Amino acid sequence: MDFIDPRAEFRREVGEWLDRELTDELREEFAREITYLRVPMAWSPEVLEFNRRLGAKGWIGLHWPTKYGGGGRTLRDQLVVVEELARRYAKIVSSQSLHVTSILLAHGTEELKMEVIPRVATGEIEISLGYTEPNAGSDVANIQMRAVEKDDHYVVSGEKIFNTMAHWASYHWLLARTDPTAQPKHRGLTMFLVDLKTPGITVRPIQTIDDSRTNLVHYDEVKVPKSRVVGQKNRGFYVAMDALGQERLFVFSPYFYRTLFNDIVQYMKKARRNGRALAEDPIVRHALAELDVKIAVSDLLYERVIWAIENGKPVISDVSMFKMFMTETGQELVRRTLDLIGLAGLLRPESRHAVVDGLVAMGQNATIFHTFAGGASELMRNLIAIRGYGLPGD
Amino acid sequence: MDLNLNESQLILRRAAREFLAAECAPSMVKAMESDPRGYPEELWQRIVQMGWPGIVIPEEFGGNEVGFIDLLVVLQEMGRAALPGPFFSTAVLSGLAIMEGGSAEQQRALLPRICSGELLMSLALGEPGVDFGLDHLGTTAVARNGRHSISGTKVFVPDAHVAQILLCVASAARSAKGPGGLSAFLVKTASTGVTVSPLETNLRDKQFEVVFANVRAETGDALGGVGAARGWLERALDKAMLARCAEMIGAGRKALEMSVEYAKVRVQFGKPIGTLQAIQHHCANLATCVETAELMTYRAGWMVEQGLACRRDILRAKAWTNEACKRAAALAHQIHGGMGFTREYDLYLYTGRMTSYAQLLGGTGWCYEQIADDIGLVKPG
Repeated sequence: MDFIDPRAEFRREVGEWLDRELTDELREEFAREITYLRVPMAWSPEVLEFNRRLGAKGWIGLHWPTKYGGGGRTLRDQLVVVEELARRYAKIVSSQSLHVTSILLAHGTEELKMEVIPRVATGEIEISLGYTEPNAGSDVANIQMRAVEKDDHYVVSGEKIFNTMAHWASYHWLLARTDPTAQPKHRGLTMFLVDLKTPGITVRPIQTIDDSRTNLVHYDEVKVPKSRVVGQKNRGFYVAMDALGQERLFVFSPYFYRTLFNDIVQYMKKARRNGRALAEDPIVRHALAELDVKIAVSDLLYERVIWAIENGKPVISDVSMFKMFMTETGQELVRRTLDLIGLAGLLRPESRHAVVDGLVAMGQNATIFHTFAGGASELMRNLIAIRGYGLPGD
Repeated sequence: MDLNLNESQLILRRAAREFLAAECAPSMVKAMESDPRGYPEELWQRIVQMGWPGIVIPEEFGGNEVGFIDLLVVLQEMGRAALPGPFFSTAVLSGLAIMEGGSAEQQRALLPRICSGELLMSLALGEPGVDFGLDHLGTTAVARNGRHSISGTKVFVPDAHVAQILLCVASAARSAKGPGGLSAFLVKTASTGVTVSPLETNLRDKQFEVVFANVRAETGDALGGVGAARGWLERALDKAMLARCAEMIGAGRKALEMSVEYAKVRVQFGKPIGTLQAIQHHCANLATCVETAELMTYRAGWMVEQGLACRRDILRAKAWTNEACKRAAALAHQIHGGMGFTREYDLYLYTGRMTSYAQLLGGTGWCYEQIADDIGLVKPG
């Protein structure tokens, strides 16, 4: 048994670089626009340029093979970059492409890999996830969007919803139904990597209550060449499930919450309320101590997943536990902190009376979706019980 | 990073589990609840034969010291078996204290007798109105003519009915508080002025009130010298907190296994209740509690073994194990329903330890206070 961070040296290198490169303007924009996994209406040129600089540094796709523009290093190294960014309220803005590329490497044709992955690695492009439909949320197997085989292509029609990043992405990672009679239903799905500029695709904005944007993506008889199929026809469900574990590591970061927690503590150390120093209020002290503990627990669950992936162990139960625990802890951090701060906690970042840079206020709405996006907590618990502990499935 | 136990730790765990399965059946544990001694003497002798009393003691003193993680492994198995007896008070609480604080001479005098099983000891620390820790203790040791007179009331002294020697924590004078003021005196339980009376607990474990009334002690009886105990007592208690965590997660693992098994075999509405999402979610929450408490405990234990500064990690581990085990115990009972509520069934043996131990050696509130100080929420003045 050991708990040594084998990445300490690389972590220092990344941290020093980021401290130099992240200007005050960039930090401010990241904190305002992307904390809590939000997506703005549009990226500023500066943010996109910063993403390309990360790419040029070789820090997007560190764990992919060099022949596709990756760094030929480990998942751990890539996560160090993600973690050090999260620690500074920043991120790789093209983060969904990281998830897709992991699957593409395992299931994509050589041609697709050569076309797409090098451009992901330079930080130029994003790939939007196209799983969810109005009637297929947690129930991915119920996807209805139709892809009908015809000559050398498929004709795709239907609608996807909550496809975050589709307004900026170059590609759409589309799971569609190729066999409407398949039983069980998940055996009739196929995975495609679609160029979002293909005629017949419309991307419409959906405004969300965290002042962020997601999208509805409509396909009207879109011709998708067969060369765009990833993996085998009707095996798309299995292709999609392949990397869901890693995705959850890339998006929900205990490093973000640790930084937020530290900033909250800094505020509480000095703040007074109702004539009293918050630091001596037992309610404040106990709440923050409990949150400190829960973030430390989240951190260990996160580390355990990385360790399991590295050692080729089944991770589905561990990843589910991490995702559920991390997101529920994040919500709790915001909910309880708002109560400790009092009225000022309601003020948004742009208010001159805002405290903790308005970050807690922002979390009030922004953490809501974390416990259902990317695998609802209920589903996570089912997976722990069924896959982790052998309880009977339905 | 590696979360696996090593080969020898796995062997140790297997050996402990097999031994306890054979020697510490639930029926025996239940029978001991109403036994005045609280454990069979033969069982203690067999534990001595296993070499366990010397588990924190180096070979030169007759022990067979193992690494700190190995100690946690054994304690986890003891928690899993709900083992009764003086192991924790003698080998862990007292053994760690003597190792941390004893002079070479004291170590030579006491440790071999602990290893051989002939000496039982316990720690007299807590007092009415003081949950844990070394602050606010009222027991005094007043020096007079090179001797000390100890007075005060200690509570939750485990196994005081069988311990020949109590390690009594006292301050030099009523006003003395803070670094340098504390001593830990080795006091024979049979000394004049020592009164031991049982405390009736839910768990039916052997806890005692010990009143010290002008009990005489020599300067040489102070472990590590008079007035110098705070530093090493803190280190010993930190380790003891994790040792307690290990017992709790052992009981937690057992409760988790029983609950999952019960959910698979208990049929209601024509199908196993484990097919119901409500029960599945209870099981998932229970599993999360136990797995996370285990991770936190072993991580802090690893830091102890590496000699790293880890006070906050230990506090986090105890606070989390407390809360996780209390929740886990409630969930295990909810899954079991009426069956788990009977004394015929074994579940209460484990859930009782999970909830009671959460109060001992650092309750959650106490841990939170320490953590709050540690993260810089300093009380003015």
